[in-house]
Amino acid sequence: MRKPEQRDLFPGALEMMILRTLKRQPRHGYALAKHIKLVSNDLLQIEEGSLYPALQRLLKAELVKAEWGISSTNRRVRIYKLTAAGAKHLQREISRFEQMFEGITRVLAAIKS
Amino acid sequence: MSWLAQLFSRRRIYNDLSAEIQEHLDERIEELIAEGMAKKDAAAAARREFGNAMLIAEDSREVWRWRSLENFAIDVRYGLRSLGRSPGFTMIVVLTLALGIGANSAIFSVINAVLLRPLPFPNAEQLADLCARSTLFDFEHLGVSLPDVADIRASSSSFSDFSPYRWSSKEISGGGKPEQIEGADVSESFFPDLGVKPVLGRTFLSSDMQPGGHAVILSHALWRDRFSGDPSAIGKTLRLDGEAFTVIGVMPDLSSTDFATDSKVWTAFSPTQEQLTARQSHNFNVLARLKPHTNIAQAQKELDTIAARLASAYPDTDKGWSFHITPLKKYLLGDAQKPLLVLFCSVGFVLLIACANVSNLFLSRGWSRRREFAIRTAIGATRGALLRQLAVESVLVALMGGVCAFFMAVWTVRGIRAILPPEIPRMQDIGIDSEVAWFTLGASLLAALLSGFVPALLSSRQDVSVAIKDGGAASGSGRGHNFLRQMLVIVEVALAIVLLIGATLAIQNFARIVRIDPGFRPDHLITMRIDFPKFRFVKVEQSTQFVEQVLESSRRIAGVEAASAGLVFPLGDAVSESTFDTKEPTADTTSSQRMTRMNHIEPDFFRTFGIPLVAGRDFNSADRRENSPVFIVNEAFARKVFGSMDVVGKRLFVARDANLPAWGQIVGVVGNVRDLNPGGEANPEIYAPLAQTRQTAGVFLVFRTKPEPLAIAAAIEDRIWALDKDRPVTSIKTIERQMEENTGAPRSQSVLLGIFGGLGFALAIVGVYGVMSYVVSQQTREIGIRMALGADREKVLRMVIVHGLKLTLTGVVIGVVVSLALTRFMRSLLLGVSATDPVSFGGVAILLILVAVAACFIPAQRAMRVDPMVALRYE
Repeated sequence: MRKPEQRDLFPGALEMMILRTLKRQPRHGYALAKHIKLVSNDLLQIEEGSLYPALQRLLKAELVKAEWGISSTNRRVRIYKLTAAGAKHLQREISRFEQMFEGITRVLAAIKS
Repeated sequence: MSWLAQLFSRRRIYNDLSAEIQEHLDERIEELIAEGMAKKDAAAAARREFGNAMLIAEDSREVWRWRSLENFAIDVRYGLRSLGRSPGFTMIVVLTLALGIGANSAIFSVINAVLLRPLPFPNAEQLADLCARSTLFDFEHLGVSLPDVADIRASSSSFSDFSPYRWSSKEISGGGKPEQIEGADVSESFFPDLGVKPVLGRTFLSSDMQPGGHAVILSHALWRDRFSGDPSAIGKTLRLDGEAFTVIGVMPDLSSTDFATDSKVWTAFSPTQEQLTARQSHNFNVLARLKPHTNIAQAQKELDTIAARLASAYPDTDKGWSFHITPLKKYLLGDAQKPLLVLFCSVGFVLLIACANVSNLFLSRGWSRRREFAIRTAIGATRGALLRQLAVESVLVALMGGVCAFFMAVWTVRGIRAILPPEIPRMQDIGIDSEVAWFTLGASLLAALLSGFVPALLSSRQDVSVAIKDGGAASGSGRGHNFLRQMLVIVEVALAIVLLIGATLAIQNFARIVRIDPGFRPDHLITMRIDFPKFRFVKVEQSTQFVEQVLESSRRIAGVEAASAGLVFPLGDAVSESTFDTKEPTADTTSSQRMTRMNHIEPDFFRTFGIPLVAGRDFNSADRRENSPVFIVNEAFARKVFGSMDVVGKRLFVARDANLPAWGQIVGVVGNVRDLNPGGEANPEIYAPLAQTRQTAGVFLVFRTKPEPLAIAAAIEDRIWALDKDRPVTSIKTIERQMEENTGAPRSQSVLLGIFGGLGFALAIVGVYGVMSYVVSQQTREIGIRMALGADREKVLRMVIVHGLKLTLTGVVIGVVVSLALTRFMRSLLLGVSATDPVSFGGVAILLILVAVAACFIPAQRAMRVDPMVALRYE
C-alpha cells in the first residue's frame, strides 16, 4: 500500500486545516483547496489533489458530511460541512497541536540560546 | 455507517468521488482560462497543480476499503490464476475430490432421507411400538393380546396411551378391475397419538368405533386415484369387502415406512367381545405413547414386572411371554440403519483415500513452488500470507470438486435408488435437496482441510536463502515432506484394504446366497394370490372348492404344465407355523408344545415346484375334509422328529376343529426346501391337504409353465374371473423374481460396497504409483551416482520396489488389523460368511500387494534407464 500523501506535513495536519476551514463555513473541494492555499500564503506545498483522500477519511470517520449542491459560480459541487463530532475533534486536535507546537518551540529555543 | 451499508454504498461513494475530482479540475481550468491562459495549457496546469488524479482517486477509494476482504479476493484471484497455470494438476485434484465427495453426497442423500429426517409424526419421540416375544416362537416381534394390553394400561405409569391396530387387507369393488388393497383397522386414538391431522374431514370419533360402524379414512393416494382428489369425497361411499363405508376423512401423503400409515384405507378397530377376552390371541400390534420425559428403559422395566405378574397369573396363555417396547423411529427405521452406516463408512474411506492422494499432489506442488514462495517471502510476504494463499488454493479446488460432486450425486442418485433393496423405508423420499447441498459444501471444506492443511504447513516453512541458492538443485524434498508422503501411502493402502475386505465379504456373502440350492426348480414358475374374504366365503369348503375349480380350469391352458396351490409357498414372504405332536417320546423337553413349519397344499404341489417325493405318495382328491388327516413331511422333519427316513404310516397330531379327527397318518416324505439363508439348516416342515385346513384367508396359486410364465398370467386371470368376476388377483410374481427380491439386500450391499471398494482401490493404487514415481524422480541423482559407482540395474530396480513394498506391507498390516476390528459390525449383515474370513482377508492383501508392486514397477524401470551423466546434471 502507498503511504498517504503527507510527506511535507505531520499526520493529521491536513485534516485539521480542513476541519478549521469548514468550521467557518461549508465549502466544496476546490474552494477548500483555494482557501487553504490562499491563507497559508503558499507556504505549505500541498498538492490540491491530496485534499481528497483526507476528505474521504474525514467522511468515513463522520467528522464531516457532504452534499451535492450549487456553488456561487453556479457549478454542481459537493459541499462539505462540519459535523458536531467534527467540531469536537477539531478542538481536541488544536489543543494537542498547540501543546506539541509549544514543546517543539521550547526545544528549538533552548538550542538557539 | 455499518459495514453492510458501506459495502452497498461504496459504488455511490466512488462515483461521487470521481465526479467531484472532475468538477474540481473543470473549475480550475475555467478559472485559468478566465485569467487568460490558453485552453490546452490551462488543462495541463490544472492537472499539474492537482497532482496524479488517478493515484489520488485510488488513495481516496482506499479509505473505504475493507482490507482483509479485498486481500482475500486478491488471494482468490491469484489462486485461480495459479491453478489455471497447471490445468493438469487442477483437473486431477478436482476429479479425485469430486469422486470422493460425490460418493459421500450420494450416500448422504439416502441416509438423510431414510434415517435422519424426522418421522412425519409430530409426536414421534413419545411414540413406541409395543410387542411381545415368546420363548416358544423364534420371532422378534409378535403381537399382544387385548386383555394383556388392558392389564398393562391399568398398571403401568410410564404410558399415556395404547392404540391397538391391525393390518387388514380389503377388497375394494365397484368400478373397474377388482382390487385387493392394503388396509388397517386402527383405534380411535391412533391418529391423535401420531399427531397426524387429516387434510380433509376428520379422524375417528367414539361414535365410529361401535361394532358395525362403517366409517373409512382414505389415504391421499386412494383419494387421488378413486376420487380424483375431489374435496367433496367426504360423505361419499366406498365398497370394502362388499359393504358400504362412508368416507369421513382424507389423510395427507405420508412417506412409506412399513407401518400402518402405509395403508390405503383405515377403518375403525372395534374388537369383538371374544377378542377383548382372549388372552391367548397374541395378535395385535400396539402403538404406545409414553408420557412426556419418560425414560424408555424405565418403561421396559415396568413392562418386565407386568409380564412376570401376568405369566404367573395366567400360566396357560402368558407363560414364557414378555413385552418389549421399541421407540417408533427405531422400530420403523432400525433395520435400515446398519447397512446404510456400513455404506457411509465405506464412502467416508473413499473420501479419505482421495484426500490422501490430493495431499500428496499438494506436497509435490508445494515442493516445486518453493522458489516462488522463497521470492515472495524475500519481498515481504509473511508465513501467514503464504499459508493463506495455500489454504485458499486448497479450498478452491475442493469447492470445484464439491460442485462436480454435487452434479455427480444428482446424476447417480437414481442409479443408487435402483440398486438399494426395495424394503428400505422412505425410499421415494431419496433425492438431492438443500440438505445434500449443505452436506456437499461441508464435505468439500473438510476435504480441503484434510488434504491441504499439512502440505500447506510444510510448504510455507521457508528458509529463504537456502531455497534461492539451491535453485531447485536439491537432491530430494525435505525430510518432513518425505515422511508425510510415506505416511500417506501407508494410510491409503490401509484404508483400501479395509474397503476391499468389506466389499469382498459382502460379495462372497451374496455369491453364497445365489449358489444355495432351494430344493426345487425355480425357473418357469409363477405365483399369484387370491383372497377369500369372510363376506363371500363363509365356510372354508367354499374357498377350497373355488381353488380346485380355478386349478382345474387353468390346467387346460396351453403352456401350463402343472398347477397347484398352498397357503404359503417356498421362498415366499409369508411363513406358516403350527404345533404338532407324535406318539413317539420326544427328546425335546424345553417346551410343552412343539412347533414346526406347516403348509396346507393342493395335490400336485411337489410336482409343480419340482420338489422330489422321496417316499410314499402325494395328496389326491380322496383326501377330503371329513376323512382322517393325512400328512406329508420333509426329510428334515423325519430326521429331526423320528430320527429316521422310514416314517410313512407314523401317526401325527395337528390341531383341527373340535368335531374333526386330529390324529392322522404320514403318507409321504419329500425333499427339503431351503430358505435363502446360507449356513442355515433346512426347516422341518409338515404338509397337509388344503381340503383339510381349518381356515383360508387366501391362497397362493402356483403354475409351472412352458413359455415365459408372465406371458400366461393374463390367461390364468381370465380363468379366475370367469369363475368369479370380482375376485382380485394380487402379487403376481415369478419365483425367480421373488428370489431376486429375497436377495435384494445382500445384492445391493455387494454391488455398492463393490463399487466403493473398487473406487478406493483404484485411488489408492494411483496414490502408490504417484508417490513411487515422485520418489524415483527425486532420487534420480542418487541413482545416477550409484550407477556411476557401479551399481547394476537390477539393484536399482530392487531398491525402488523394496521401498514401495515396505510402505505397502505396512499399510496392509495396519489395514488388516483395522478390518478385523471393523468387520465385526458387519457380522449381522453377513449370513453365510465369517466376518474374519481368512480367504477374503488373504486374497485382498495379496491382490493389493501385487498391484502395488506393479505400480512401483513403472517408475522403477524409469530409474533403471537413468543415464548417470544425465542424472548428475539433473534439474
